Amino acid sequence: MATLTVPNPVTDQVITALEQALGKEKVRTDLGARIARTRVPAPFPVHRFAEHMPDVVVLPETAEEVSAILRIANQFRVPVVPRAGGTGLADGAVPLHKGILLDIKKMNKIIELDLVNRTVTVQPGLNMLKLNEYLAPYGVFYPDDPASYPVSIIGGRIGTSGWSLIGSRYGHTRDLVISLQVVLPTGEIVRLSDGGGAPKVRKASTGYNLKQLFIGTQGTLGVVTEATLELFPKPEAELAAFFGYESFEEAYRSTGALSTSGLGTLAAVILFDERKVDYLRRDDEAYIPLPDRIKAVVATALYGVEEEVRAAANRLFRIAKETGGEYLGDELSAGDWASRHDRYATPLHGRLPDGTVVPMSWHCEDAAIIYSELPAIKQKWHEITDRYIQKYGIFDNWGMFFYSNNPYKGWGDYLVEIDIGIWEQALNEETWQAWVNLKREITRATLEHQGSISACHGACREGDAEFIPVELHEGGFELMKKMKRLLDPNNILNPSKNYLHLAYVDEEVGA
Amino acid sequence: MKRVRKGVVLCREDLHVFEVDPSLMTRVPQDVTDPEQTRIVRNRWEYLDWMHRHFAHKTVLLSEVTDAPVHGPGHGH
Ligand SMILES: Cc1cc2nc3c(=O)[nH]c(=O)nc-3n(C[C@H](O)[C@H](O)[C@H](O)COP(=O)(O)OP(=O)(O)OC[C@H]3O[C@@H](n4cnc5c(N)ncnc54)[C@H](O)[C@@H]3O)c2cc1C
Repeated sequence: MATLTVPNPVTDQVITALEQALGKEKVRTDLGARIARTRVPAPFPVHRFAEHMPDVVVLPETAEEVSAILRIANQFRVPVVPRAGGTGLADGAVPLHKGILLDIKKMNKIIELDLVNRTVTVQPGLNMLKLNEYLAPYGVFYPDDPASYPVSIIGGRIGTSGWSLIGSRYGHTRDLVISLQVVLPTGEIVRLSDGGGAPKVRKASTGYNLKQLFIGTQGTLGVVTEATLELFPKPEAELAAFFGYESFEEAYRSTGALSTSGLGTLAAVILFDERKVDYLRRDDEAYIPLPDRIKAVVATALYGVEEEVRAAANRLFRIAKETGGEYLGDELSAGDWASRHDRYATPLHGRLPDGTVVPMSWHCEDAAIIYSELPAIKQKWHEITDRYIQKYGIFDNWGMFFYSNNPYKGWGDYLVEIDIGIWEQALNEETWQAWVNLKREITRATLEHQGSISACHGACREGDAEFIPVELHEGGFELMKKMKRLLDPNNILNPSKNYLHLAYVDEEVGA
Repeated sequence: MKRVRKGVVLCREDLHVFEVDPSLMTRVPQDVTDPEQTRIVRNRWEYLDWMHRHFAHKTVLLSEVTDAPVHGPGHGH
């Protein structure tokens, strides 16, 4: 086997070419700019920080400038890694081969608001909170609502194919993007929509539906430079209701009943398992006073026109009561729901096995799992995690969430998440490898239960990425490799992500 | 300071502030003054109110619409 493309280092010549194309102020080689864009909040091999630091940061403002950067990268064969808010939890924006870091945050303009056709066209460096502040006076709303809402950015939402807290009512990122402008790895600028080229048409049957190909590709196939997005009326009313249960099994059955209720205003159903409730009772103000008989929680939220929300609330309450739920009160329901739009406020500390507090970073392992498999996956993921906690003592189990995961409905598959604390300062190569092995075991369990490795973060970290060929074994990964090589012949765009270095290995050479 | 459950103390009854038992905080001792704590708690409530308004014109509570109780089982701790 021979690798056909090996990335080159960034030389002075590359820097000069970038400065000539963009102007010196948009090209930064200072250590501060590079350190700040080396990692994301997910647990990181801090002992190998330097391996991931980009050589240069560029801050383009237009599609033409992005195109110029990619052409230079092809000319010199150096890697380019797109980065938006840098909040991704699968390391999509972390350079694996150093190179040029393309920060899109200066591409943050609103290009057009079309109230007649209910669209807004933006550059990808804008974040949803800022967009919605702009939209509020017009009574419209862009409902992409991750738990990183104040800090993640539209380009990164598209790059990861993000999941939204209220997606069961309004759809997730991929459902909210109407069309895209993309700069291909070789520098061409293209417009892609739902088939055809009409930028504001949501449903077409002309040509290939190329838009979706560029959503969730973690910046491996192109750089999004413009997006036309869906607008909804700003909800008149919201109602959050949290219910407690005496067992996980009861809460699980209730989740099924609530999510198949058919209520059109139902925006989310979230199941918290016993370990999550234990964790919250240990470390979260709102849950500490909950009596011990509450073992699991189901959170629900309704959004829409006030009359519809009020009517749906009655039905929701009835279903929850009939399936064993006990209402946890207005204060906890409304307060905890509001805090879910911004989980950066989560206390980043964890416990050693003896209960003492140490600073810990948060790992959120996610997968998409069908409803029938949730109890089994819960058991397996906890068994795996607890085994590593016992052996290494630097991890902490923060429990599991199961979120309704499908657009415009509560049922189907669930975004399953186990939250694990990691004491980063105590990491060394041995414990880092242990961590990666923990992730591998979790991923294997996911695949054994007909799940997909990731529901929203992506599968580009070690421990996940090597299983992409396994999950896509019926020809899907082969097609991914062909597409990558076709669009990115020199492997310059986010190289090695999604295990796509295999696209450039010539298997016949060494056979 | 009142112990409310294993490993957790109630340190500000007026503001409902709980803390990890200080005996478990020896590696990372915390020293937050009362005024600072008051500021943090008030800012948090203000922030959550802002979130409600940002996402919908009105927040409806389950107890307003149904016979659900206003307070949950943990109330009055
Ligand atoms: C506290 C917290 C809560 C979170 N909650 C959620 C949640 O509820 N739902 C959810 O989906 N995620 C969640 N996440 C993960 C993260 O916020 C999302 O993955 C988000 O979509 C990433 O956005 P970003 O702007 O930070 O992107 P980045 O991390 O900067 O980038 C993400 C990926 O997109 C690529 N990319 C960036 N810009 C472009 C572009 N212009 N063109 C092509 N590719 C591009 C990058 O190369 C990278 O691969 C959470 C993260 C945190 C820290």
